[in-house]
Amino acid sequence: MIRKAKNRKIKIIFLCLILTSVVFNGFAFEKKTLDIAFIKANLLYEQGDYNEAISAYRGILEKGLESGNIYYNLGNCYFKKDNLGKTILNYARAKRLIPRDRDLQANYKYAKSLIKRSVVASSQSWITKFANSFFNQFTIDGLTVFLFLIYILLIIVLGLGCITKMSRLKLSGLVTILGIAFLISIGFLSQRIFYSNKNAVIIEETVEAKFEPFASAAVYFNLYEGMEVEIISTGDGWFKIKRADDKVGWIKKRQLERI
Amino acid sequence: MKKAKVIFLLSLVLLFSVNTNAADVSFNASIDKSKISLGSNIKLSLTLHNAQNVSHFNLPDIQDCTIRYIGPSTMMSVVNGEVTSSTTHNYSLTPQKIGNFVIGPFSVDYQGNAYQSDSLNVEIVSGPVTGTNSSQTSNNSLDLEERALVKIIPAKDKVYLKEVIPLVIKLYTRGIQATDIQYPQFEQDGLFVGEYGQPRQYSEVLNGLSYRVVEFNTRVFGTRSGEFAIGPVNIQMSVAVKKKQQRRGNSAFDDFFRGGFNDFFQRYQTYPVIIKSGKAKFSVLPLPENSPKSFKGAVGNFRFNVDASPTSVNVGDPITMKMVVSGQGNFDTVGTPWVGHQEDFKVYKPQVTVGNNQKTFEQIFMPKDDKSNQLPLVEFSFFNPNDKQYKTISKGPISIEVKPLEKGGELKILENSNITQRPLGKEKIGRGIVYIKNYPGKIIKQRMYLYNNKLFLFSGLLPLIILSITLIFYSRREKIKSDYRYARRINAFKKAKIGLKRVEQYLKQNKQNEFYNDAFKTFQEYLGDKLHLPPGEIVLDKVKEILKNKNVKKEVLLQIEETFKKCDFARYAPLDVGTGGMENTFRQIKIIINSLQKQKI
Repeated sequence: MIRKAKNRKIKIIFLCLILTSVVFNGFAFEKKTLDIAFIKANLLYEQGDYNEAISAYRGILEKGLESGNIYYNLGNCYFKKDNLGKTILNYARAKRLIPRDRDLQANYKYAKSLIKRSVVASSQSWITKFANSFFNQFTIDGLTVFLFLIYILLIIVLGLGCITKMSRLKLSGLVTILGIAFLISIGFLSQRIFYSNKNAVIIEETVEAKFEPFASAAVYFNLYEGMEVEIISTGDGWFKIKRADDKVGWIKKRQLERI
Repeated sequence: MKKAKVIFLLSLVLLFSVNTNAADVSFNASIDKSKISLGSNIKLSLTLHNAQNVSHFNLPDIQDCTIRYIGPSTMMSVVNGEVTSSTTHNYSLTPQKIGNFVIGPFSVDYQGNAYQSDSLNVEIVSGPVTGTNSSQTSNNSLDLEERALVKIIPAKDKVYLKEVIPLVIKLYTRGIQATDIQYPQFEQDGLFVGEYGQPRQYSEVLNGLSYRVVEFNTRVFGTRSGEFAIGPVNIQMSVAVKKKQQRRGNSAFDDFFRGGFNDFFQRYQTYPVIIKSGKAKFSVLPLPENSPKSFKGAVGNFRFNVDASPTSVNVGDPITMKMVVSGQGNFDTVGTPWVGHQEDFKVYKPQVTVGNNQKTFEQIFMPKDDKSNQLPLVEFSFFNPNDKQYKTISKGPISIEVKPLEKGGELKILENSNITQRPLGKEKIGRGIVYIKNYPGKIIKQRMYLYNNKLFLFSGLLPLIILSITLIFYSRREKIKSDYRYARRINAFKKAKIGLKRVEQYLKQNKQNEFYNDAFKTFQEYLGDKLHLPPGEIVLDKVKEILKNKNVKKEVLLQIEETFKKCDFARYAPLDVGTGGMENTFRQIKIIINSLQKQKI
């Protein structure tokens, strides 16, 4: 009886080992081919064949994978082709994954300065600005981990507070600070998740935003290539969007691309 | 036809001096019905407006008529902070003959001034009169027509196209309770009707009858020429009407109860009604044909002023010309004034602001070069319906000074209409993008986020579980430390287990004496710990009593008793019971401990 159980255990462990080795090998293999594809695309860029480089980078993305550097390089390709809309679109996508990358920040800022007209964003309080600049340093996953760490800290403090007879005042102070930090981060994380699918970039040179979703409707305001907008809702072939200065209008779906 | 004319003077006695202005005092007389059957009563009301504390008038006898004083009523109302008060004295008149009566005019003295009312006509007929109180159950609508009516009063009946005139709509009610009065509604073919102002409320005498009046004021103008009729106007409101009495049984008893209770609870019921007015004729004349070139349709009597600033600018800088049209008339028809020669400037659409009896146009001019030294001439034309002619006011040209641009400067023209936008040329010189990355970096699946990972979310529960387990253990330990009784109870089983192991050794070695001594000690200690008894009190009777109170089964109690006896017997009368007897005792102790443990004593 005991022997049989032991045999079974060994078998299971063995199977697991085989499986993991297969999976890791497979992943490593895939990683290698991706690296090669990436380097090939880089070579095309260096040769000035931007169209080919774009399709090579896009080939990697079409496998359902992504990385900040791929988007960054893709953005550079479009920049060389004077396609400002797609440049900013790809930099914005890269920002989602590598927000603290200095090269990206510089290129993104430069590309944005080339937009024909810019709009003064609706004003925010300094506290929102500060919080935004802090939390925008994180990716969504980064924020999730940050939140998780605060959560664990909160639990440790609670546990220690009960066991070590910490003074009530100290404990409640610590718990309040951590609790507020937790709530604020949860707010920002949910905001980021909410907007992750709503931000888009204008990819046509000049776009007329209309009052209503028809071709014949009156023009409300103009949008220029590379401007970032927020998608509020979708209609049949139309998007209802909001410009940075909070003006809301309708534009055609092909005139923008989601970040 | 018989005529009776009654003129009398009423003397007034003032009891207190009042804060009302004598100039506002007015006096009128009214009756509630103008046609009655012989033998019925008319209510005569004599009202002194803006007067208080007026004692009742002594009416002299009237021929063919008996007079009875009913009583006074005073009314105070506050409209827009203005207090008005009136005193009314009511009399009941009963004419004795058929024919037409003329009652009044009445005159009174109040604070040394004499006031006179109109005279009133009353017709007395022999038969029953329709629509009066005697046949109240019959026709409500007929009754209503008499008691509520609407009148339209335009200030003029001949106007020019788009000439604005005030329009007054009056709702008269008498003797009914009108609530929820809505704003008037009417067909407005060829007419533009403005918004209504705050309605006014006052009372007015119409055809000898006193009415409550609600007055609505608005402004209208014709949008095309021709003959029109204003109205009919509909005013919707709710009217409280006395509920129809249904007479079923005819016993006086029934009547008493039905009348008594129903009258008290259901006397009035509100009905929504629509009061319709007649039509008012209204003809709209077309404007004369000889209009000046700068005429854009403005009708009224206006003034026109022009002002520009700054008057000294650089080429390309904006100059704001402010054109103000003010006065009386139809501001909807006031268009942008005519601006003359403007080739030297870049001109934007003017910004229009509408104020109270004023319309302002702000026009931006940007000089294209330094040759221009004056702003264009501006003209404003309008049709004045009072003078029946066109009028043109021209202003300017305003002289300006335009300085040339400094060398190297470029002509830049700013969009003034949208200051949130700023121009930004492509300045590629000296700037470029940072080179591409050599490595793909961390590759992940698209849109794969940690917060979507179930394993990750589940792992979030772990710390919480660890925390709760720690807290449970900790609180238990604390209790053991502080609560001796609890600690004894919790540790009893542990101690017993250790003891029983030792006892088992003695059993195996067949050491009867040691076995029974130790077994009894272990058993006793266990019971003592469980029941929190001091060592001296762990005797059979005490243990049994406590366990009985704790609802321990009888078999267990018997077993305990047996074990106690056996152990005592073996300890004090050492006979060889053999391994079988020892094993038996050992098993029994174990069973007892287990069952007590299970029962959580």
